[in-house]
Amino acid sequence: MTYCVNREVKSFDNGRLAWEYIHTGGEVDIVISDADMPEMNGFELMEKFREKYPDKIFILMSGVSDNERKSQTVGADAFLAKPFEINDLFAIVQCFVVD
Amino acid sequence: MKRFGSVYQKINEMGEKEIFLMHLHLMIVMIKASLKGYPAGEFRKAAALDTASIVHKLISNIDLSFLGPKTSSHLFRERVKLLSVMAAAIVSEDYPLGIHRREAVRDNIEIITEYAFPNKQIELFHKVLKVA
Repeated sequence: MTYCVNREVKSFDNGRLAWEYIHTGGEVDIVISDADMPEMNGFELMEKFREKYPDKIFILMSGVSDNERKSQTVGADAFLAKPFEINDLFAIVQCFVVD
Repeated sequence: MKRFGSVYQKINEMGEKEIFLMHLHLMIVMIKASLKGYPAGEFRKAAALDTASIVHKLISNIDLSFLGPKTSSHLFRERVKLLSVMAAAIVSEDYPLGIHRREAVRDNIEIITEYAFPNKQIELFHKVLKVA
């Protein structure tokens, strides 16, 4: 992702660590989160993120088909279905960063 | 909601093969972008070197049976290892390239692409890559 977007990319092992970073002032423009993670899943993270930054981009990704419908319901900006390819990451950057 | 990635019917977790092919694909894009003169910058350079290192590690142990009988897995492994070394050299800009090395890089990419991505065109996202 760093290569695609050519900016700093922060990554975290679970939603709780990601939220701690965001909540304590970490600068974030776009979040791409796995739907299923330990301690805090992607949907929970998105809910908290949206309360703080309602206008910023949140993308959910998953290898579980049911999560696509759920992502649509909760209002994710995009859904990245696994398995994905590099072209998909470039397309995301083109859509949400360049364009 | 925008949608990216696999079609609905093929949604599944990513295995070792998908992760390896994604990194290999990215490494090829990086080399091509570098050869075409797209701006790199510190983030892209670091990411490129990291990717080359990851590919070099992954190719050593991965099960290449997905390639089928069309190529020797040993040869493919050696070509990919060589490409990862080429990638690191090109991206770091520490070594002269020259016509012959460029040709060797292109040949290696062509052969690897033929086996690893047989029905795919490796495209460069110009709008994304031109952003420094």
